Amino acid sequence: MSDTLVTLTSQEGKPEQVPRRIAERSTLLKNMLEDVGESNQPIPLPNVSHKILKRVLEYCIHHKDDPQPPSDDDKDSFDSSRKRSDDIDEWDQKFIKGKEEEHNEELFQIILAANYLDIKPLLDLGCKTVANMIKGKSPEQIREMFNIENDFTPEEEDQIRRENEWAADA
Amino acid sequence: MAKATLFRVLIIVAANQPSPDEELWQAICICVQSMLAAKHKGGTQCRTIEEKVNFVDATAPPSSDHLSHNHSRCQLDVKLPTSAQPPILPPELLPLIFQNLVPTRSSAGTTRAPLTDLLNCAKVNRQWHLAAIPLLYACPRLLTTASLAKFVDLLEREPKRCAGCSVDQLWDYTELVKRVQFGAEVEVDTAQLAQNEARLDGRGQRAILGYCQSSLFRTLLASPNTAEQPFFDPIFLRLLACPNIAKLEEVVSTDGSQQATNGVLHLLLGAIRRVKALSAFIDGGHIALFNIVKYLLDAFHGEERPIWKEHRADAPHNAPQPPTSPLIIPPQTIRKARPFIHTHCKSFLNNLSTSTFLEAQYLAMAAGRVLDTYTGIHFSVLQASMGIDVLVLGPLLRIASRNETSSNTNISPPSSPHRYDPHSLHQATLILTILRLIFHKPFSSSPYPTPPTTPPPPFSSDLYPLTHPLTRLLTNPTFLRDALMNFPPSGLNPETAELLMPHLHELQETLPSPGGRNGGVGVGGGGGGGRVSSRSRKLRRGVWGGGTDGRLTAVRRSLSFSDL
Repeated sequence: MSDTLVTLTSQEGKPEQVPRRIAERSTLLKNMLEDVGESNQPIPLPNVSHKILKRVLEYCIHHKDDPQPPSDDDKDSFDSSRKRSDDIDEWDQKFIKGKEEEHNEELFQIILAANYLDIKPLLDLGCKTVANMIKGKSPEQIREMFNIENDFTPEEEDQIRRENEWAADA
Repeated sequence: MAKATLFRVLIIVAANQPSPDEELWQAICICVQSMLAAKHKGGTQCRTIEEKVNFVDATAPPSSDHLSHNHSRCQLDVKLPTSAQPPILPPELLPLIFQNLVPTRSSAGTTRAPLTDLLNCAKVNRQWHLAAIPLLYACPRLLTTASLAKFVDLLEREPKRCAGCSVDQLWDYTELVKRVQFGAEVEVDTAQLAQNEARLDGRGQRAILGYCQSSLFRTLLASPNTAEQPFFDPIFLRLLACPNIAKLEEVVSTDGSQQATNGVLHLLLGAIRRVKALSAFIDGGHIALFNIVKYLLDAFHGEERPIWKEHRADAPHNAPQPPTSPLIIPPQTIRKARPFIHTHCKSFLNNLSTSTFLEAQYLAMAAGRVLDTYTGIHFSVLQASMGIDVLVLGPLLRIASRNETSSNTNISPPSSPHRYDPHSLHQATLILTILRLIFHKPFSSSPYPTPPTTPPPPFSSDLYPLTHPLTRLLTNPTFLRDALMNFPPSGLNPETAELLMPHLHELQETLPSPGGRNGGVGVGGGGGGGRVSSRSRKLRRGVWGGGTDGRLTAVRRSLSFSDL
């Protein structure tokens, strides 16, 4: 049962065959496969490009033996003691870094795909990586890095600075 | 943008259907077409309200509650991104990313302000602001008294406005606060401290000491209102302006020593919450309630005549007269409040004593912790000058304080036995006990004392063998002054003095006499024995020299022991 192959179709319409066990790292696909039951129909993933799909599957294959993360969307996700942005596994670090220089673009697409496919460890990995990129940067540097437009008025900027003064020297 | 989101939703629906029907594909096609049309029109087209509403609604799937939920509470109007290019990072992912920027417990000691990254994110643009602020305020970490003060001011601002600001606050921040962490700027690891600090000079060590008290501890000590607010510090009541606050925490070190303090803080929060609920029934808030209860307490105890009986008798005849007592409560208020107070007085008094007790306990514990560090630092100074192994001294002191008396003569440190004098170890234990007794007194009346202006009396080196570690400790003019600056013993009570005396006597007996020649000469200028006993009597009565300077001198003299 777990050895059956599942066909995933990327944005470009290219099919990609993976063992069901690998595909089930994605909660979205897992639920879908459970709902549909035995079926040979390809699963369209129109949000995910073929290149990104390959990368995501690479991650899923490497982590195929990991225990499934607890599916808790508990209110305690707020608890910061669980979150550590500096404990990224070596393989994961290499994986998320990618090969090319257009690292940002690919990283965001992987995060989006992980979010869409509901692969929590990969989503966490992506978010941690972005958080690490943000660390130590000024607002201006962050805008530059992510190509974000500053839509605050100068008065609003001043107000934000004044209202959050406590955090600046905390 | 709304269409882009609609597009995403449609795609997800399509993906979830094994065989998407034709209508769905049609909808997707229309969506794509209109998106393309919008893109060609350029990025700066006029944004209609409808579009904005669509945007907000569409980006609010039930799971991404963070952003959408808080959006309604922020005064900032989030406009659509003006660039034609869609944002690379979708807003619903921002809270997930920012959660990694929330400081963890283990990062308590980082030198950089731990919230700077989140704060910087909140300054990037409106979308980021919306996602970052709830996280920033959910668990504020207040490391300095200045930031604690600013934070509380922000929560309390009644017309929710900044000083010198004509517009309302961007958020109702009080609703966001869930857990307040008081911390110290530098994490203090005592073992590490002893290892590293022996090399530093005294100034650097005192600077480190300054950091190792949490902001709450310092605020409580320095609070100018302590005298008028005889029960708990207003800082707690002010923090209770946040309705969702669930926990007060102290993050000072990672070794778990603050666990007990956190327990006390938790109880304190509960007690004060109850007091606040009670005082909500009475005009004038908790101070009026406190005054009423104090008055009734006096009345019940028979120290004053029950005021309401008197007033009831007088009221028909006389014009309303100002109450004779210094209380600001008019008699009719008391009469009105009487049945209520009768039923609630008991529980209120309970709460009151609980919170007073808890605060005292908190201060005592915090003081004890700081004092230990302080003593550690000064022992490390000794180590630097004497070559005593402080790392050995610490555990030994603990053993010694457990074994009490001089039976510990067998203890010898493994590393430097010849340097180690078990006799002085016992003395050191005694000094620790004495210092603890002095400083564990909760501070009820005086805020920080003004530093003494007169220089401490000079210590003549031929009277005090400088090589003796105790002499070094006690005659170090800055030690007690600094200690007392941090913990003003605002009048020892008789009980503490009683507890203190046997230890002082014992210490006096254990101190070796430097020789008959110097026996009778002391700093105080009097003869040894008689002088000490007269001071003991003073101590027993709880009388210290008038004023801070006098107190300092008195303590220093008592501890310096002229006949050392």
